[in-house]
Amino acid sequence: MSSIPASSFLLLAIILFCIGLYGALTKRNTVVVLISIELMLNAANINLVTFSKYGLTPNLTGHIFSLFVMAVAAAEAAVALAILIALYRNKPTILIDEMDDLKH
Amino acid sequence: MMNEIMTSQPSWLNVLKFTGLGVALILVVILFVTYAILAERKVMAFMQMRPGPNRIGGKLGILQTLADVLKLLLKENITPKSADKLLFLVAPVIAFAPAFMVMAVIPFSENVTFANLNVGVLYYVGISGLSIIGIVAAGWASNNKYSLLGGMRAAAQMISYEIPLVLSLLGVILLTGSMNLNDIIKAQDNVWYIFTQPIAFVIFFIAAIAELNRGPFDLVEAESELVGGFSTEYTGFRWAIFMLAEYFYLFAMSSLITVLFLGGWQPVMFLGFIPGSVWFALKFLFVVFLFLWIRFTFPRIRADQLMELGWKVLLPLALANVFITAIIKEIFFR
Amino acid sequence: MSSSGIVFSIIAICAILGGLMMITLKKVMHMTVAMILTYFSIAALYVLLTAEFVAVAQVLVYSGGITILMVFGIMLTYHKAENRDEEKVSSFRKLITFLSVATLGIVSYFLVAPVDFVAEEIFVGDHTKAIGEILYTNYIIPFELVSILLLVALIGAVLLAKKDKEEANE
Repeated sequence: MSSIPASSFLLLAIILFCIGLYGALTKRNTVVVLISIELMLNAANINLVTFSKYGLTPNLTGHIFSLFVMAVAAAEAAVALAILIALYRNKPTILIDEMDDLKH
Repeated sequence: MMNEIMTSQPSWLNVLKFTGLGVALILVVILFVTYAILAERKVMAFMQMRPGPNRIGGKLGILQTLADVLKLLLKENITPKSADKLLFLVAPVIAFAPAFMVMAVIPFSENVTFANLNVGVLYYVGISGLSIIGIVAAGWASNNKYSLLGGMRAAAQMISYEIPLVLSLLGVILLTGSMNLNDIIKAQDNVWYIFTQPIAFVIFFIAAIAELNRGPFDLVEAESELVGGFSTEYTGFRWAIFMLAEYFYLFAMSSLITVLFLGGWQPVMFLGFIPGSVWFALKFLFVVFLFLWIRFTFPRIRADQLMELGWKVLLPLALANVFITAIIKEIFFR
Repeated sequence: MSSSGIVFSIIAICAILGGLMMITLKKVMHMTVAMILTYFSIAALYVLLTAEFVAVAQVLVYSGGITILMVFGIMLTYHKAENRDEEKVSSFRKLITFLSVATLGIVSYFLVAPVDFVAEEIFVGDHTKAIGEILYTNYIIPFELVSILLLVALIGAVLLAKKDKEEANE
């Protein structure tokens, strides 16, 4: 299975990261921004798993680290959506740039 | 074998081989589904002391399901005007595809396993979780409050029951020391896990009924309150796909219970001369019958009772089971 | 090109397609479903990298868990007129963002292109077992910390999403 060069995995990770970054910066819907952030985390995970197979000292640490990233991402998504629902109850908007009550 | 294929030159022969195997499996399962539906109706009729389908195909109604399928195929496919067209079309596919994918890891006999994964158990749980998305999407896309309620109920129910399901599996995994389904069967050489892990079996079975959305946990399509649940707006072939997915899961879940708790293709005591696949089929049919039996003898429970049972009874029990199993393994099986 | 090359290309195309659909589709529900394609492709990619356990965890956590959470979030906050304000983002801002993101992508491409490590068989045998052993020896403290984090997130999410008492009484 060594026929795929490491750089192609990394390139795919870059593309996905850029898509996620673009989405996070241009979308106004909170849920979509969250999804985009998850996509960026996923792209980082691809790198971690790739370097645990390729590289100078390949070992399983990359797998472990990506599992931790997933756990943290799940916690983050749960809390973020809870905040979104709590906010929505007070101010019926889901647009992220209208949630600026603390500014005024 | 997989490594050889992956590094070899691509050839159409391999594509053909795998497609052929897949088609063979799907045909077997569809044959099962055809007669599972008939069996369901016959068993129900038997328990309610009436004859059941007995017109098409002799007194046993052997061709009844075929006629039903033909009727469904000939029906008009209606897409509601206010439905979300794209998602309405895609949802049955999302619900059905995982139902077939989970079959890949199940060892049907000593030699027949399609994929010998070392994370087999987790694979089953993970992939079967994907179907929920199809069901929720179907409920949402139909643009109908009953569908939406059915979809939301399905999601809530399946997520709550997935946790005790996985936790009850942990006892089995702890005793085996592997998540590979073949290893789990081999570890049941002497004693089946139903005897060493009885609590896990009961929890798993209840959670499996809830995962399959069958009675007494069929709140998702409770026809007396939700019309048809998430599939209210679906007609004809698309509705048939949802039903097919449901029965595919019945097949897969019964196989999984057979593998995890009833020793898979392991023979009973001295009856080793009967081939493993026959043993598997017998145990499998027994589990399917249990599912039917429970469906027709218990009344449907309320939605809040369902949630309470899942979170307040099954989850602590499953956790306690894991704890006790770990202690016992630590003391006696080191 | 060997078979694994073809498989990789298909997976990569699916992943990028899912991402692009997420960016371009109009309805949030469609975007969420499109993301499943990407999450699933990434799981397939992990299988290609012989990381089965991570792949299954990916399917379980992302496709199963997080997506359902998102769907619930959409359904509980949405009624109609979904994306009435979605278009308010000016095309100038979009263009600027696109250009900067593209620059970032191109720069990192030139960083990544010369990487030519050779794949090595990191571990012969049961990966899952090895991961479990490392997790419970070298990484036991982070592991316990993550479990506390998840517990805190669980309780916090329940408390945040719960209705206030006065509100429930109304």
